[in-house]
Amino acid sequence: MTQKKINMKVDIGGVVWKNPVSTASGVFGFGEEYSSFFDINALGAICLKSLTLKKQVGNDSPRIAETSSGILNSIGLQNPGIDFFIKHELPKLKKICKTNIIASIAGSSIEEYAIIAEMLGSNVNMIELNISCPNVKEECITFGINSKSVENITKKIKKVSKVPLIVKLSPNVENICDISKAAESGGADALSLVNTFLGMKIDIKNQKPYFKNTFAGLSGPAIKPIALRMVWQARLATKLPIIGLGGITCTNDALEFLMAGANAVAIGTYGFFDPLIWPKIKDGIEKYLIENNINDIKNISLTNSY
Amino acid sequence: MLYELSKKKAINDKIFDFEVESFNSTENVKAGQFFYIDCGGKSFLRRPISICDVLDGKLRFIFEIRGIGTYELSKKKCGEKIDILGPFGKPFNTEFGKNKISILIGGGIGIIPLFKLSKELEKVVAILGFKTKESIFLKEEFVSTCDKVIITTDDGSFGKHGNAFEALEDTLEREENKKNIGALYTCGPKKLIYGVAKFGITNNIKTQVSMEEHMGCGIGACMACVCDTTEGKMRVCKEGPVFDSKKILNNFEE
Ligand SMILES: Cc1cc2nc3c(=O)[nH]c(=O)nc-3n(C[C@H](O)[C@H](O)[C@H](O)COP(=O)(O)OP(=O)(O)OC[C@H]3O[C@@H](n4cnc5c(N)ncnc54)[C@H](O)[C@@H]3O)c2cc1C
Ligand SMILES: Cc1cc2nc3c(=O)[nH]c(=O)nc-3n(C[C@H](O)[C@H](O)[C@H](O)COP(=O)(O)O)c2cc1C
Ligand code: FES
Repeated sequence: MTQKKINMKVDIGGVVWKNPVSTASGVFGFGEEYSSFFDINALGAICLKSLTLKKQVGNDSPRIAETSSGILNSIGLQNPGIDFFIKHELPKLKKICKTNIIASIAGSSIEEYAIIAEMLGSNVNMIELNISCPNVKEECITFGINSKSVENITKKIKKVSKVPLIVKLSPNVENICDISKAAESGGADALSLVNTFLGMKIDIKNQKPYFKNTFAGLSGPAIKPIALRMVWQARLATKLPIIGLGGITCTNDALEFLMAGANAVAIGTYGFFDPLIWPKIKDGIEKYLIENNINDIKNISLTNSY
Repeated sequence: MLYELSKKKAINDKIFDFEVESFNSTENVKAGQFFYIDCGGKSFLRRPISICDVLDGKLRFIFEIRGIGTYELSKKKCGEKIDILGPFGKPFNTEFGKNKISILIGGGIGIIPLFKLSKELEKVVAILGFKTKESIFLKEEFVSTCDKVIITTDDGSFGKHGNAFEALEDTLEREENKKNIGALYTCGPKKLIYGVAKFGITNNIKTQVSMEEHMGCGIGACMACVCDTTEGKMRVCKEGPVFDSKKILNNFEE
């Protein structure tokens, strides 16, 4: 019996992904570590740790805590800075990576974001604007919580970016529809949502907040239903391609996001538990399409009819 | 990777001794490295547990119940499969101990990685600190792998009264030729390993310290497990858990 050809390809803001599965920023380093577990080229794209203009030392420990069905993190964007990345990390990665590379960028001013985007030029396939990191004191997060500033920063970075621009949205906002529309009118090529939810933990033994920064970002299965709802809402608010993420642990979770209208999915936290989760979900989606006689991944969104 | 639990022993009501069958080659598993274990139950992240010993194709772990993960792990039954990743991390550097005396200083469950290390080194003195006589474990086995074993208890109920660090000072005072000592290797409570690290530097003896931090990925990708070093914040799971004492001393300054 010959198997029917299934289309797994998706178009994310003008970049063709061979399948709709990517890594989430910040859990995958610069690709090297997980490449000893599986062939990273099997994925539609890989998204790297957020880069800043200068090297960031990040927050003091502790940086992570387990919660019911998830984790809180307070990494604070530790990264070697854009210069080091371009000189040392990117050439290493390019040797092993033939799939799409998404560079995530973060800054404390629009100028910083712009410089980083310019420095990246077309050395990567896409740029993701992280305007939603809850773990740094600076402005990073405030760019992402207000429609005007989202539109403004998107517009300015779109102007200098040589590659399609993804805007990563914070879930810690009043109205995800307004923010999605703001990114769209700023000229974003795609959206990704969601980043982590603001949470906290208290150390009852020492009677003080557990994290030095008091608040931390919640991720993992605990946030999935809320992330899914936000993707659904964003889908109805904009025409942009959406990368859905937040708490995905298995094929079925990923299918839920795709049905909610995401064009692709990314997995973060669950990779800590299962380092093979990315290729497993990619294979799982393909199997679902075959078993359900769906010949194109694009046909599984439910929101088309809403 | 699934491993079958082939042998299980309760050392006391808190500490468990596990042996699992490994289908992989165990040749490259070195003292100081850790395995990243799915404990089951409600635990979401894996738990880092040091390699204690490698016995023809079997891996041995010893762990203490601290919270939900280690509690769940302690409930596993012989024959059950355990999902284990690793070995991860940098091992102890045994080159320092070549043709010389190595001193291992461990406190409580910190002695666990030192047991495998004692088998990898040549001439070994082990100083093992416990709270009380009842909490002593692995003693006979250390006696079989080491040239000399010194036991301390905080309450004096067995061996030397005091802690492992005091016993180290004592031992070295008596050692006429400090040049015979190749290295100090330590693992245990922060206070102990700090004392040993400082002591090594003052006495100009190479010292290696095994650090602990809470982990996410366990393989170097998420930056959750960093500790302060002279070269900035480094990952305990990748650049560590074993560090040269000179690198990590600033970790302990108040
Ligand atoms: C490199 C390394 C090797 C270790 N080797 C051993 C060993 O051989 N035997 C042994 O008994 N213990 C060892 N530990 C400590 C062991 O990992 C913790 O006791 C265990 O993770 C606690 O989990 P829990 O679910 O019981 O506790 P909980 O408090 O419920 O754990 C909650 C979270 O905090 C983390 N956590 C809590 N305490 C520690 C700790 N001390 N270090 C790191 N993470 C922690 C857990 O992993 C989990 O993510 C080692 C730790 C490290 C970093
Ligand atoms: C340890 C950790 C570090 C993260 N670092 C970043 C980051 O640098 N940039 C970013 O945009 N998102 C970062 N995130 C957020 C994830 O990319 C993702 O949006 C979020 O965790 C939800 O997905 P998940 O539940 O699958 O992890 C981080 C998440 C975790 C757990
Ligand atoms: S636990 Fe992820 S870098 Fe060490």
